[in-house]
Amino acid sequence: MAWRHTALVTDRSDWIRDCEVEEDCAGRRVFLALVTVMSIEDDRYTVRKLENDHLIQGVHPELKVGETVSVIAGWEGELLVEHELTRHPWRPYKNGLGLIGVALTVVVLVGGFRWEQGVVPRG
Amino acid sequence: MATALLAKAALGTRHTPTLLLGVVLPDLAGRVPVVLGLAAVNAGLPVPDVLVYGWGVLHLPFGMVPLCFLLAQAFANRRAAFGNLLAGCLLHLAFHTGSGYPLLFPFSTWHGELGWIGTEATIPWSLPLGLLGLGAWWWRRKRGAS
Repeated sequence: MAWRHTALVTDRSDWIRDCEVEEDCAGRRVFLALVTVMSIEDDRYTVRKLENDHLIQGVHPELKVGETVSVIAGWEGELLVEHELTRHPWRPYKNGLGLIGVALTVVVLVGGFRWEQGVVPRG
Repeated sequence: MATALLAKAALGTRHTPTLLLGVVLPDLAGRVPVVLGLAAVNAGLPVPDVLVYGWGVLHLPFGMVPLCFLLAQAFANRRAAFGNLLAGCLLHLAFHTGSGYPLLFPFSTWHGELGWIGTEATIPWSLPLGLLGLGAWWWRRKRGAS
């Protein structure tokens, strides 16, 4: 299952990378959900999906490097052109909540269980 | 966690820590290793793909079941532990319906998605819901109705 799941993820990643060097994907779209903006130029920006950076054509003066966005983009030849950009302004708040979640998980794991011929939950 | 506490407030507070563990288990087992693996790859370390992405099955239903079964073996009451761990995992997954996970993997790559609300759109509700859940659970526990 782990190997098949790995193939599922890497196959899609490989497809996107292949489209960047071939023109076979013209007219097709790709949804890059929750990706990080890595660099911004005048009329294009780069986002990182997993371990790959993808160049997208689109102008957004308010976009910042390091910001998390979701992008629907379409292929025009080898060029990936933005169709829809969603910014996620709550992302820093979510990261803060994530840290609280980690702390709560530690509290639950340490304080929520005891050993009595096996793990026994308190409460 | 908020929804788990609300569920326990409604159904009785026994095995609350086990349900809470179940709620965070998919991320602990199926997401944290992926995040760490990707960080290692992006730092230039030669990590095999399966050690980066293979953990993802533990964030899907057919990976959760054996994971909960194995973890439940460490508990004194294995049946209750398995039920609460799995219920927690499924509760976790219920809030990922906007992300389109392949819920029937490895039997199908169909991506389940209700499309009612995006995961990101639930963020503003998290803290108030967490406090509500904690309050409701605490109130039920004080009543001794576990």
